[in-house]
Amino acid sequence: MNGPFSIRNWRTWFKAAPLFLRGYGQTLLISLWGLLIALLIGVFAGIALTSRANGRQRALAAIMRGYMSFFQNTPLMIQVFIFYNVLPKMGVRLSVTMVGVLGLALYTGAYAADIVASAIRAVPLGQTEAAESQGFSRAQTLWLVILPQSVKIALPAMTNQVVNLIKNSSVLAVIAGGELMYVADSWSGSNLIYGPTFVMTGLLYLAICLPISMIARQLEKRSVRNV
Amino acid sequence: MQLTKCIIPHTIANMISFEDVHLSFGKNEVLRGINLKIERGSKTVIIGPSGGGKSTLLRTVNRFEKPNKGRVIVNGHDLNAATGKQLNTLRQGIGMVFQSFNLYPHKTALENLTMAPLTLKRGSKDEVMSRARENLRAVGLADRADSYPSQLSGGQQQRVAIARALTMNPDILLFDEPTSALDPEMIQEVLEIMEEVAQRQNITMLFVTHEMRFAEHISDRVLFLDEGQIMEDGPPHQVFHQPKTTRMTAFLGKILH
Ligand SMILES: Nc1ncnc2c1ncn2[C@@H]1O[C@H](COP(=O)(O)OP(=O)(O)OP(=O)(O)O)[C@@H](O)[C@H]1O
Ligand SMILES: [Mg+2]
Repeated sequence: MNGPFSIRNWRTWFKAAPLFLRGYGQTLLISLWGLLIALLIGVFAGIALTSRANGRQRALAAIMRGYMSFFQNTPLMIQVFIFYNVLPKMGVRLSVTMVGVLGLALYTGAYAADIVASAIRAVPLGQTEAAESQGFSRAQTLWLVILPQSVKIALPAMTNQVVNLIKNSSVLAVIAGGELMYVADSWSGSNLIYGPTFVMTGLLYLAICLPISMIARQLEKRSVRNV
Repeated sequence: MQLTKCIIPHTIANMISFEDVHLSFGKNEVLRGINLKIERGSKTVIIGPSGGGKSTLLRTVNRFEKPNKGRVIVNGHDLNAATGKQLNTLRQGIGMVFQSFNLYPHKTALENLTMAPLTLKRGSKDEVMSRARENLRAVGLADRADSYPSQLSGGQQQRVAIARALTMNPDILLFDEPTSALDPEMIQEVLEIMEEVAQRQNITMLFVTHEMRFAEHISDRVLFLDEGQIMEDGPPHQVFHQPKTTRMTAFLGKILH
């Protein structure tokens, strides 16, 4: 049997499988760090967007909206490319992994901010009034009353963002990120074995993304029931 | 917290003073010169037609609304002059019971009572806990301490909300139509609890309500607020049975039929 899916091609691929698993590990590592930082950005920016009591807060909200507009409306690939090429010229030396983490975090954080902001807005005004009538400060109200309720509201959408983030990490192949897509791209190019490579690579992404999507769907169902 | 700075000595005899309070939302003049002195420990009911400014007036007492002109003085403190921190401290002593309960849904009934007084240190942990248990018992829900709001009926939720306000050991309690969102069969249980709460002599209470029999029964003063002005002000039997204004007569005619 010949063609892209020949037995020989499969055999060659399986011999190289450890290489792919290492790339997979790199994908998961970059995704995990990217996610953590994206969540921090999302919570910070989401709070900034929803608190506009004074001039300083309004200025911060405007800055956050600017950040979000830029990162939501340019391709991730170009953002990563800019980080990779421009940061060193500005004297910031980062490893490829760090550039990858930073790029994914800023991109996903821009979406996470919207999710957090709308989750905060979804908590009824009566909750803020109840807390403030008891003498809680704004910060205490946010921390003790609003955010705990926002987390539940934000969870399904945020889980979907995790899936997007993992898939988007494949963009880091353009800067030789050493993650799964980079391995797939470079290995298949030099060995001219494309069929098994991209089937198996796809399955590896599926293996992590599908369970997370299913959790997201479950969370969505539960939150609909609780309303 | 330093509150002495904004105390105005001659006002201390009254718990709340409204001095020529005007308040507008845009062009809509909602309060048009309110002058009132509310005595310590008194139970005042505010009645009046929808849109007359009852909620707005109540909400100036904890500065949820801020007058455009005039001032509200609570326990000697000019609310206009209070800083953010002072306001938070003052609010600890001013409980509010809302039409829509507004319990914290992520906390159990007992935690709803204890969260604020524990965090804001209104008493030691032991004091707060025993006060909370006592207040839950007082509203007849000692056995529901570990229930979440979503597991309670509307009437039960409002009773927890009343207990929550009491557990702060307030000097003032504000009720804004506490039974208006309830199914008819639950109104009575909440009114009964409020009647008991109204016996607490050390708390000054303001009620906005449409429950006229309750109002007549528990209050020592009734205010009729219409178009942003106090049209009637007197003991309940007088306001209800010998109203001075035709508006009050018309209002009573409307709600009693
Ligand atoms: N936050 C606000 N912004 C703009 N207008 C408001 C606001 N709150 C109240 N109003 C307006 O002020 C007027 C008085 O409202 P208020 O809620 O004090 O009346 P009320 O006597 O409590 O009426 P109800 O019996 O319907 O509760 C109404 O015309 C209302 O539309
Ligand atoms: Mg009202």
